[in-house]
Parts: sequence; C-alpha cells; structure tokens
Amino acid sequence: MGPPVPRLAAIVIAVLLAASALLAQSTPLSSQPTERIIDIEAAERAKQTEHSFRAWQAPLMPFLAFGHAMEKGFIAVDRNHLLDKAQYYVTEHGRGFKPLFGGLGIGTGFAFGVEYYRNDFLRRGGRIGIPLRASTLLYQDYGIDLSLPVDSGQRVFFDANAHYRVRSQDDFFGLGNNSRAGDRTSYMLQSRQFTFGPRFQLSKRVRLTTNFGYRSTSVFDGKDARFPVITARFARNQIPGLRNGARMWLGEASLVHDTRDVPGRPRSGGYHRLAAAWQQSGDSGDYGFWRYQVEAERYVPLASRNRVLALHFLGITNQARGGSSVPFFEQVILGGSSTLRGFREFRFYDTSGVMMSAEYRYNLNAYADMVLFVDQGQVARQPGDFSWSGLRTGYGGGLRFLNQAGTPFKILLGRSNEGTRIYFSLGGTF
Amino acid sequence: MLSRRSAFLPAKAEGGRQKAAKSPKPLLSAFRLLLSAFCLLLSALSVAAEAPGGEAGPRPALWVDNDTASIPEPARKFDTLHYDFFYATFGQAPRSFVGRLGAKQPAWNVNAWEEVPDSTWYTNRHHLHPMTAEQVARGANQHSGPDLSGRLAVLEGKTAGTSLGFGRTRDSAGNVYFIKFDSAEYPELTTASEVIAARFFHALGFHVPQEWIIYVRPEQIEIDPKATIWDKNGRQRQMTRADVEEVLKGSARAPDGRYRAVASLLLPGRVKGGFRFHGTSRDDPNDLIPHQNRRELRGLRLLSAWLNHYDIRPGNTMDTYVEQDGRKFLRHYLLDFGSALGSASFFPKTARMGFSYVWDTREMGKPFLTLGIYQPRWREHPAGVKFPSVGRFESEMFTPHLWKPVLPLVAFDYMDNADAFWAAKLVMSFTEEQVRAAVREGQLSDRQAEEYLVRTLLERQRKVGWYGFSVSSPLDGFRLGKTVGGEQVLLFDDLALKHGFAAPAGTYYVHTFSRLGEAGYLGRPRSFRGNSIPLDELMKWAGPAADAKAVFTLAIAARRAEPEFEERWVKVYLGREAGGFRLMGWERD
Repeated sequence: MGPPVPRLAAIVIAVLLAASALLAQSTPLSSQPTERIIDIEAAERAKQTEHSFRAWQAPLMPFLAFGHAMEKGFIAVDRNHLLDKAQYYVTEHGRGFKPLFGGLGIGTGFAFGVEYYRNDFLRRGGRIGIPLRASTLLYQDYGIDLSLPVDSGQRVFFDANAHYRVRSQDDFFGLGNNSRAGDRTSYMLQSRQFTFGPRFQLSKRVRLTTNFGYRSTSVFDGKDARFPVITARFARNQIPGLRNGARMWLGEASLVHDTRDVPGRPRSGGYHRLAAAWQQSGDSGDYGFWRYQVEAERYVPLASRNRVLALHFLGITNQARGGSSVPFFEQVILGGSSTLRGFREFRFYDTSGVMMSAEYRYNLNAYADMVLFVDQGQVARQPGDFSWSGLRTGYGGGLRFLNQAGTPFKILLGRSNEGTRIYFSLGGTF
Repeated sequence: MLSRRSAFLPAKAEGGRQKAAKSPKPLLSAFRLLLSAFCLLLSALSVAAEAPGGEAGPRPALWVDNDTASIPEPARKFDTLHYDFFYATFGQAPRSFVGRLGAKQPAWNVNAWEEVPDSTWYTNRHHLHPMTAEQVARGANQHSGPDLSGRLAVLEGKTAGTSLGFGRTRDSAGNVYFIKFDSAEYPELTTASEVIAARFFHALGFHVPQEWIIYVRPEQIEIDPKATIWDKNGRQRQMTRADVEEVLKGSARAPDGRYRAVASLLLPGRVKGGFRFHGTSRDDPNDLIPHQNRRELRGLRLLSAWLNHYDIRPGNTMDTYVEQDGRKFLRHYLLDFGSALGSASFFPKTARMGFSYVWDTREMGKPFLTLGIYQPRWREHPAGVKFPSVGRFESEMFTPHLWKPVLPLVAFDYMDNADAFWAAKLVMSFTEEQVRAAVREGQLSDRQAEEYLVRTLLERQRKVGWYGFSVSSPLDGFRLGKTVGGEQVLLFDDLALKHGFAAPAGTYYVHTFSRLGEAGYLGRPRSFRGNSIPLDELMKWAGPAADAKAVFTLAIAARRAEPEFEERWVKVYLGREAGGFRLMGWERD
C-alpha cells in the first residue's frame, strides 16, 4: 500500500477523468454536426427578431393579445371537449332541461331561457315541454306544450298548449296604411292562451292543423321609455281593444303544402298555406271576426341551383261579423325583417293586408348566400281598398349565413322612404 | 441563328431574370407597382428581419442540412381546427397577401443543384434515388404490419361520434397503432386514400407514419381495463364494449364479416404537436429557416394538389422528439391522409374541396361583384362521384396552381416558380407502373375503380408537370462530360422534352456566358440544338489568366414552337480548373 497522499491524488484524478468523460457524453454539442444550408448566425438573428417584440407591433398589441387569448381559448375548448358538452346540453335526450335562445320574435332583445322536456311522454313519439323564456327587454313566455301521436304510424297528433306571454314594448303607429312614422308609441300585451286540436300529416308534403281554444289579452302602456305610451297619443275608444283588451274563443284550421327541397335553405320547390280562423269574444267585448290567410313561397333556380329567385306572397283579411270589430293586436301587422323590410317592426296595422316579396339569392360559398330583395305591401280595411298606389316599397340586400339544414343567421340592410334599417335575425327562410 | 443580339439575350448581363415575352399592360403594371410598394412596406415592417437571403453565385454544395443537434425537450403544443381556421383565414391574411403578390424571398434551403438537402423535415428519395415499384408500394413500412394472430387491445378511444376508429391500440406483438375504419356508406374510401397518399408522400420525401390496411374480426377487439374515451357528450369515461360496438356499427364490413381498417404505427419519439406553415418554432433551436421559406413546404402545395390532400394543415402534421446517435431533436411528420384523393375522411369530397378554402374571400368576391352571374365551374357543374370507394376525384377541372387546401397556408402562398418546378419534377418522377403499385396498396376491390384512380392520378400528374415546367426553365440535371474527341461538354436534361410536353423538332436553346459579378458577356451568345454545350470555346472566352476562384455563369434558355412555353432562364455556375471547367451548381430564375 502506497502513501495516502498519492493515493488520494490518484482517486481525485480518476474522479476528474470520469467526470470529464461523463461531461463529454452529456454535452454532445461539441461533436454535433453543424454544417447548415444557411448562414447560421444570420438565421439566428432573424429568428431572434421574429420572436422578439418590435416597436411597430405596439399598435397591434390589442390584436396580438386577442389572438393569443383566442388561441388559448380554442385549445381549452378542444382539449376539454367543451363543444361536445355544449352540444349535449342543447340537444334533447329522453328527458331533462335544455337552454333556449331567441324565439320571442324580432325586436324583443336577446331572449334566453330553459325548457324542461320529456320525450316519449305517455307514449312513443309523445312530447311534453315546459319552456320558460325572457328577454333583455322583458318580453316573457312561459308555457306548457304537449304533443301526442294518436295512431301508431304517427300521422295524427293531438297538440295542446297553454302559455302566458308578456310583450313589454311593441310599437304602434296608428291604424291604416297612411299612419305616420312620427306617431310611434309603445304598448304592452299580456296574454294567457290555451289551445288544443288534432294535427294530420296527410302525406309527406301535406299537413292539416286545427286548433281550438281561448285567449285572454290585456293591453297596458308600453315600457319603452324613448316613446310615448299608446294611450298618450291614441284615444282608448278610437282603437279597438285598447280599452280592455280582449278575451276570445278561437278556432283555426290550416292546410300546408310544402315541396321545398331543404325547408331551412330552399333552392327549389315551394311552401303554400291556406288558413281560416274564427274568433269570438268570450265576455262582454264586441269582437268577432273571421280571418282568412293565403301564403305562398316559391323558389325558382335561375339556370343553376346557385342562383335562386325566391318569391313570397302573403294575404290576410279579417272580416268582422255582425258589426263587431277586430282588436288592433289581432289585426294584420306589416313591417320589419320578415314582412316589409325597410320599415320598422309593427309599422302598419289594419284589418287586411297584402305583402309581396321578391328575393334574388346567389351563392357565395357553402356558408353564405348574397341577397337582393324588393318588398311591397300595404294594409287596408278591406281587400277591395287595396290599390297599386298604396303599396309601400322597401328594398335592400344582405347576407344569409347557411348551415347544412337551414339559415341560422341573416344580416340584411333594408331601405324605404322612411329610412334605412339593418336587420339581424335568426332563422327563417325569408 | 439569330442575327439580332437584343432579341436574343436575357435581361441582365449575367443572365438575370428574363422579361416576360408579352408586353406588360400599363394599368396592370401600375397596379402591381402600387401593390409592390405596399408589399415592400409590409416587408420592411414584418418580413425584413428574414435576413439570410440568397446572394448571387452558387449555393452551398450540401446534401444534408444538419438540423439534428441535441436540443432541450420542447413543450407539447396543441392544435385546434377552430383556431387554425380563424388564424389562417384572418390572422395570417396580410402575410399570405404578401406571399401571393410575389414579395417573397427564394427558398432558403436550396443547395447548389436546386435541390432540398436532407433534414429532419425532408429526405430526398424517389426523384434523386429512383425507387422500384415495390419500394414505392412499401412506403415507410419497415415490417409486415400489425400482428393479428391474437387480440387487438384498445388502449384509448377516439372521440366518439365523428371518428370511426380507436386511438392507441396494441397488437399481439406489443406494437401500438391507431385504427381507422371506413364508413358503412363508403367502404374502402378512407382506408384506401390514407394508405395510397402515405405511400406517395413517403416516396416524395416526407416523413410519414407506417400504415397498413388490415381486416379484423369484432371478437379480436378487446378493451384494455384502463382504456378511456371522450364520449359524444364531452365526458371522459371508461371505455366499454358498447363503445366498440358503436364504432363498428357505423363502419364498413366486408362480406366475410371482418372490418377493414387502416392501422398507423405509433410514431417514434415523444409527440410534441404539429408545426405551422410559417415562422420558426421558438423552442426548437434547430429550426432556423422560416417555414414559409422551406422549399419542401412551399412545393408541398403542388404535391398536395396532385394527391388532392385537401386537409393539409398544422393539425395534420406532427413533431416528435426523437433520439438518434445520442442526439435528441425534433422530426417533422405529415399525418392523416384520410382526406386525400377523392375522400373527405368518411365521405366523398364535396364539390368545393380542392377549389376553395372553407372561407375563401377571393372565391366569394367574384360572384359577389357579378351579382352571382359568375359562378366557378366546379360549383356550376360539380364533378360526380363515379366510384364510392374513390369518392370525388377528377382531373378535368383540376388546375394545379389554383388548387386550394382547407385553409390558407402561408408556405403555400410563398411558392415561387422555382419551387413549383421542383415539386413538378418530383411528381413527374413517378412512372405509371409506380403509380399503379402505390394505388394497388389501397386494395380496392373494384378493378374499375382502381383503374379510374390510376388514370386520374396520371392525368393530374401531367397537369402538374406541365405547370411546373412552363413557369420555370425545365432544364435540369446539368453535368460535365466529354465527347469522343475528348472535348469537355455540359450536358443537361430538358424535362419538357423528356416528358413529352414539347416537341424536339421545335426546340432549340440559347446561351450566354459571363463572369459572375461583372457586366457584359464574354464571347458571343450562341444558339444550339441538342442537350450538350461544348465548353472549349467558353474556355477561350474565359481567358487563360482566369484564376481558380473565378466563377462563370452560363445562362441557358429553351425556345420552343409551343407558345405556352415562355423563355425561361437557368444559370449554370462554372469554375475553372486545370484543363477545363468544374460544375458549381445552377440556379433557376
């Protein structure tokens, strides 16, 4: 055995050698191939610049931050399958709750709610739903909907509905075709309705629907603080139904013939509807009338399915019986994104009305159609009072955003002699 | 022989960019000038930092771009189609705009021979080292495929509802695969397109997974006790037999009761997510070339166009952290070819696919401005689905440079004529026999469908070739040789003649000779026929005193009877050595 100091030195040297060998193994960079097709230093400088903040980017910071947040958000959505989860909650299963969006009509604000539903209720194909909806403008709709198949082939159904509705600030400009836009007022409707009746699916394209029931409607001053309430501008005895509302028994039958290729985004075919309704006061009110309605939509491809001429006709007349009258809120109402574009919603009221619309739609891509349209319509006391000179005209254009089954969203710009209006609307073929 | 020198010469003394044969339209020029000015501004702001542009003269004579240095393990990146859509469609719009307008640099990773060196992105295969039909058909596969003698254990489910298949699945030999089935409505569609396209992309030089078509019996499939699945309600739960049955219920079944599927072997290394088609990865020090300046990614546009690989996007690429020779680095793969050829995954492509992005502002603009009177032909008269197992795949309306993937990709917008030539050369390197061999790997049961697929691929191949060889000089493969008399000559291939796009009788060539960096020509320009240029005369023009470091440029262009082929120049770099020239490379204008 040698002296301890040289032995220690030998150990130290051995450790150092081992360490250096290990170090050499763990830092292979020195032995790595380095020949590149590019000037490495210049490329590294360029990369450094690419990934560093540059002064000119300062104004873009909000966009960059938004983009970054969007990326993180989308990744979180995908990794956690949040779209699947959302799809699960908005899709009906056997029973449960589902969220509701919209459904209260145009100009009602953003509406949302929840519905309890139960499919195959009482029997296969039956359904019961209890929807509860409210909007940011305090429009409300609470109800219960029941649909039961009567036969095993599910061609005959029995439907029953009971609803309580509040329309907090609908507009009223006066009766007639010549009402003035400056007379805009606001009223509130509160209605309770119960209807029931059979529905017959006569063939794949034809169905007959009947309804019987009772509706109680009360009228109040509207909640839109920007405009006078209805009673401030119109006398209660001038406008039918304004004083006490109306409580009506009702019955209705409608026949629908639908040959549209894809009902939600038709390119060919048509939709035709004939309806007749009877309403009679259920209390001391002097209201009683027949309503007749004709509606037709035709979709004509113009040498290609990518160009479609869409035509829409709607004619309604309410015929008062035996000196009765028609409450103003049951009259024909024209104006707005679905009836007479270029005018405000609820712009024209009268007992009869006619509306024609021609739309030229052409396909931009799988997800959007461009639209150019002309609408004409008028209201009058009787169909015999209609005249060419009385037609009110609106025109415009816009985009219809499409999915496989329908038109979930539209942006339209309409213009008339009363100004220009932008319409954002969900669903609907017109 | 032409008498007028001015009608003869390239625009720049050293054989620079040739003016277009047609006189430019003044309005268009002014418009382009404005756009170019705008592009220059944008470039100055955003792209100017891309420093290493190509300098005049021969490029590096490298066949390997060594980007395999050890790097720290990068973080896992996640990708999402929804974000990709917004980012590619709107976020990247300015960059793509710049790319489309032409304010782009030539590809950076190009060597002296106008080729792409091997790297972690790309490996030169068939077009430089011709593969046999059998090798093309084998593709990346290194063994015979999953061991189906026993059970297949599903380790995880794919997202239910949309995907017909399983995630990681272990075979009897212990290898792990991803399994994808055909839909019951379109048997063989997905699996055939997946395998056929993978074979081609491998031969074209990209890293792809190993894939096989397999047939499995339902009872072979078992579920690992730890297997989980994200169900269609967005909940992760333990996988059950019902999940397997659900997948099989929607899948195509062969007459003998087995299910046809494609099995993709798990990639080696640790998965790190897809790569983008622009910029560099911050956490990969080897990644120094902005992806939009990589020729293989630019040229991938035409390669994808040929194979109709519509769904190419970051989400269908993958980086893996691999170890090789003691070094750890990222390797870059292309994945998921189920939407190639006529397939759009589980159903045939729609008429739009390949002609328009999901949201294509330019494509929408034309019908918008013409009130719908203009509609593209593919929308007015969409191609039909002739064979369910092939899907919607056609060659008549196919226009290579107008082909579009699902989303705009910056690298694709940056493809220039030289990149297009490179890609076309790769595509044209496949013989009919090799195309047939790859298509046969799809194991289509309908012979007519197989024949249709082969024919359509060959017709599309011709279109890609014609495009690539007409936008750039199709002269390639330059090499030095000697005549019988011992005279040094420069030989080359004219790919337009080789592939029958132009007639030899109507083709002749012109060349100029100059010293790199100096104005004016040495000697006189010459015209000639045939694919060899005697160099003795050039040697005299170069002068006896020329030093060994001097570089000479021999600019060559073809002139053809076919009016579709404009005059395009290629510069061949020559250096002096004892007794002659040495070839230093070439560059395409």
